[in-house]
Amino acid sequence: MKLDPVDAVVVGAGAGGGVVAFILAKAGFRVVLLERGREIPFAESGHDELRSQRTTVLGNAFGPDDENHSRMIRSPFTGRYVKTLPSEGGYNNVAACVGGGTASYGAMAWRFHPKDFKMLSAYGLVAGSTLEDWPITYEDLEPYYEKAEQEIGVSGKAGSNPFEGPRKKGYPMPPLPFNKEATILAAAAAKKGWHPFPIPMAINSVARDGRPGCIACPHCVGFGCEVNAKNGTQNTVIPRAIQTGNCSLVTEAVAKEILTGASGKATGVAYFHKGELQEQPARVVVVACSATETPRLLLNSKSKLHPNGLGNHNDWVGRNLQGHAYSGAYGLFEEEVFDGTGPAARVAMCDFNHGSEGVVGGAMLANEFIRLPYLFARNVRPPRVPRYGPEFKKYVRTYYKRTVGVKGPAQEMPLWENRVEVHATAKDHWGIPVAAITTRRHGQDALTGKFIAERAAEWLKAAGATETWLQVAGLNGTGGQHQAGTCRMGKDAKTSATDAYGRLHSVDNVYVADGSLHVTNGGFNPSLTIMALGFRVGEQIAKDWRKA
Amino acid sequence: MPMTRREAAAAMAAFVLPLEAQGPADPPKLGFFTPNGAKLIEIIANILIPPDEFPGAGDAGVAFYIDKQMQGPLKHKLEVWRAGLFTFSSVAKHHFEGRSFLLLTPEEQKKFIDRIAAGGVPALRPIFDLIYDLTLQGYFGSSEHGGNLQQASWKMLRVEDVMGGVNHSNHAAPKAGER
Repeated sequence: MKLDPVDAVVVGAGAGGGVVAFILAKAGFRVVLLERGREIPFAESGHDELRSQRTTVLGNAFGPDDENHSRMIRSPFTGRYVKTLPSEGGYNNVAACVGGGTASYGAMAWRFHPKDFKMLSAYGLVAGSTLEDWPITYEDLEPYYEKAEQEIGVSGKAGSNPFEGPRKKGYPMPPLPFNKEATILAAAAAKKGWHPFPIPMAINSVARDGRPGCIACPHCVGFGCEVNAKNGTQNTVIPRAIQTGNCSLVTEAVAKEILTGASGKATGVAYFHKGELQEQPARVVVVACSATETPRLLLNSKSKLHPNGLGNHNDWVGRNLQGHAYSGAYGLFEEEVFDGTGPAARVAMCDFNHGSEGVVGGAMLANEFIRLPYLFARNVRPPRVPRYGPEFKKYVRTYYKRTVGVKGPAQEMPLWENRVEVHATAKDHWGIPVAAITTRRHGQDALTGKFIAERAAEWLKAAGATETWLQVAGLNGTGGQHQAGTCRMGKDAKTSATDAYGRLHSVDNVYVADGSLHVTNGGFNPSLTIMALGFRVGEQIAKDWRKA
Repeated sequence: MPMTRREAAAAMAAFVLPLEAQGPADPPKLGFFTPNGAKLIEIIANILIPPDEFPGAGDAGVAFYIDKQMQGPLKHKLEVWRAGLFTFSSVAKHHFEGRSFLLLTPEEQKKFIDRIAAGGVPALRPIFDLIYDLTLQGYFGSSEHGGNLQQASWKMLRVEDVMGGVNHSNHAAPKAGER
């Protein structure tokens, strides 16, 4: 059915799309915000480790569901495709619900380091990688980081991280207090001459905006918040967008393709809703579906004038998929360090984000979120401990509360071969070709990962760990929850998918507003950067497409 | 000696009832596991996480967990599961010259599991890895899913006060702004 035309249709109500919808609705645009998932109330997701965003063994409480959303994952080594479900490893899942990943994320709210925007200038060419500078600098994005921190709500301590780029304004809330392990780690880091500080979090440390402060429960990353103290787009900008009266949110709306007219411009979006195909005409289309689903939608939007998919005149759509080469270390302690308080990840340092010998980029290092029992038993064990039997059980029992993890999202080198395509034959429930994903890591990532893991172990030892072991990222890549890079921004239309404002080079009324835009992915969790880009892209659209 | 299809089906039925024969899931009653199938899982789970002052994984209801989930979210693994258990029982029988795994001495059972875990019986590695993962899930996950009876593992870890599941939370409702 053809619906009444609107000014803008935004596909994807996650970190980027929620922000763009808010900016446009506030600017007076009539906006339709499409989301393939739905709202997930806390009562439904609860505190169930086995269905959390981190442990999807019994399905993912935040979507997508296994029945309708498979993908084809291709081995970079054998070329073989394997049908993969959302609850299975390797799927590259982010979530499919109102708020997207921000409904259940750990909520670290990082600004990227100024050098993260200039990786090519800082490090030079890396053989085999498409490493490049962003078309914008930290200074260009700084005002938008500030908007994201204020609108979404971030707690933190301005000035406590000496490596952070200059900021004009402090955080709207003081930092959450340190837990026991953060207290121990912070003292040890300071003694080493490093620079520990409280992690900025999109979590209320005090009541704000009619929602309470954090109650320090141990179920944070991977869960919805029981008291709604965690701030994502689902409880901030999206309701504010709707409140303007200019934005309608349509959930369980599965985008099929972006429609184009005779001139090649987009005319709207076709989507399935409750079994019916709908056409939403719009002057502007914003694609914010994640670094996997955004290129999938563009590549599935083929027409005579766009035979290779929308915006894909140069084969750059879907390329350079990257995530993070997460690496770190665990340490065992003589005393109990687990105090059961969440979000647990409380202390970080940025001493190793840049400028280390033999490393391209690096990562911030932070203590881990609480290791819940199943994941602890499965993944957190020194190599000397067997994986089952009496000794294993004794280890789990003795050390569950005496283990600290420190790790960092090590920067990955972007690779041209790492890509999202649409599969030739595999289709989803609605008959739409599924995403086919190929990723592997560059050899440099293993060096960066090892370096970061060794610093993590050094930190743990300084804090009194009696035994440490490393976990270094392997060669099998995954965009994972931090997926990025597949519609790179750039000044040169030959070597990027969008301009510096997220507008497709080859279609002037289609914009991208998610992690796909990232040229490189920084040594940090990417959500605040995605939100900041959302503010910047949204404001630009409001300027470019202002009503006459 | 290769089995006929009929023999294979009969051997498989010794562990898992056909789907149409299942009653409604009502843990801790078994839904589609036969008593022998459940027994096999209990034995292996108790080798993986053996009883001491705290229950072993078999005693803590891992078989109930698997039984319940194979009829729910893990339905897509059902065929792999059935085939894996069948392979397990037949390879074990072959290995012990016709004796069923269930009838071996505990020492023999443990030795056989050790051998599989060490890679000595490649054909059984996939089903072993699946049983292993499901055992950890059933033992350490919320008891709402059928395992972790009486929160046995959470009590062992001394976290029963702070862990939650789908339908309950152990935290008192906070007042706005309180922390």
